[in-house]
Amino acid sequence: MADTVAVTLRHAGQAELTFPCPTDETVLVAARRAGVILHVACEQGGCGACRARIVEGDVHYPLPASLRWLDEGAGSDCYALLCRAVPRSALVVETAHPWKQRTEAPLSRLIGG
Amino acid sequence: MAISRFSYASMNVMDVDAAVRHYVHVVGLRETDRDEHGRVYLQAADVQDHHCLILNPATSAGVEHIGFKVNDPADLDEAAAAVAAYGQPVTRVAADAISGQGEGIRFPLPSGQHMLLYFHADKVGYATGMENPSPVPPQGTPGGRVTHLDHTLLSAQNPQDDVKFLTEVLDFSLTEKVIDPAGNTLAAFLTCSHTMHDLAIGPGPDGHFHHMAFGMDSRTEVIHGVDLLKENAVPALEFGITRHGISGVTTIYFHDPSGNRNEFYNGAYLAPGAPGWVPPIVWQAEHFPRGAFYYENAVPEAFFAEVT
Repeated sequence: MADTVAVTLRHAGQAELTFPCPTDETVLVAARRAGVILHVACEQGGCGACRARIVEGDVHYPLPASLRWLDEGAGSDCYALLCRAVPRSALVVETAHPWKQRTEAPLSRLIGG
Repeated sequence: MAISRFSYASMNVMDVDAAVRHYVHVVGLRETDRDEHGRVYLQAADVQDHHCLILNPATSAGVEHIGFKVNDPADLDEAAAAVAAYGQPVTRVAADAISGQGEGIRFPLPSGQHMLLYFHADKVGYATGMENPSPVPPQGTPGGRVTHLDHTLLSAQNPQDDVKFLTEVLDFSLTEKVIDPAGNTLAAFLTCSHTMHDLAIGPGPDGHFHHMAFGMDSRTEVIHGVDLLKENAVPALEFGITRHGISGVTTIYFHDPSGNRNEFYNGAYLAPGAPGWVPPIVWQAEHFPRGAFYYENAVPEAFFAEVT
């Protein structure tokens, strides 16, 4: 079974948020499981909607991620596309867009009985 | 000079096999050729030319160049001179450098994306055949019932610069535009043919690609296309099926496996005439949400912010 590491999101004006992410899953999938709604568009590593600056940690890409969004305007910073990035270690990232949190699951009362 | 149509998009994709599956089984194109560079060529059902889409193996998504046909081989020299005189660098492209295509000229728009003009295209014929054809493709033809590649939208930091170049040098006509309170152009819809837009320029970073649209014969076909997208779990914009105020079309947006945005759409109006003959519709910025998404009267953040 894969290890689980902590992924921490930062964005100006938002309180820092941490959730667990297995080291064989994308940050996007782990975020969804934790009720965190990341800003995404194509979900295919192409459009840059989920671009985030890596503050700490390391990721890899089992599926392609568009190099231009990893490189463009990056300077000496390192960027990740969270829809395709899989963490190798505990991760701290600064997202380009704010995230939302699912505060309630309206269907759970119906499904859970 | 006469540019007669927007004829193809040459796209960078990060996984060619996945892209081919998408453009054949979801969009509904047919594969027409492959070349020694690993590029795959595809065409829609109702166009005879060799390709409306080239898929280039690449490490980034986005547009490699967009292709337009001219009416006469001599138009290439005239266009090359006019573009060079405007100050944009022009390069010649040899016949067959692109499979199925005659010689061409290539140059960047002021916003950096490359255009290629050419006259000759090899013919693959209609999907239904060229002799005693059936009026419709065979039942069981995969993908959406698209008839042709219709238009593309590119992003620009200063859309006005592209509009000036396209109208003054290449004889495009402006059919609709969005302006800010100071009168600056935020988005522009331009035609070189009979349809209301072949090429649109929207706000965003230079050098990037917003979407390409595949035309369909009716709103019913767009609904069929949406069902296909949902069955195949293709990532799609949250607005859709919907309608644009600008152009009035019925539409849905979705993404190819490299994140390049596609559109299924039906119902654009015609805007025929000589360059400048059709005065443009003007949208003030405050009305832009209604122009962009007429039913929702809003612009989703993921729509204009994200480009490949």
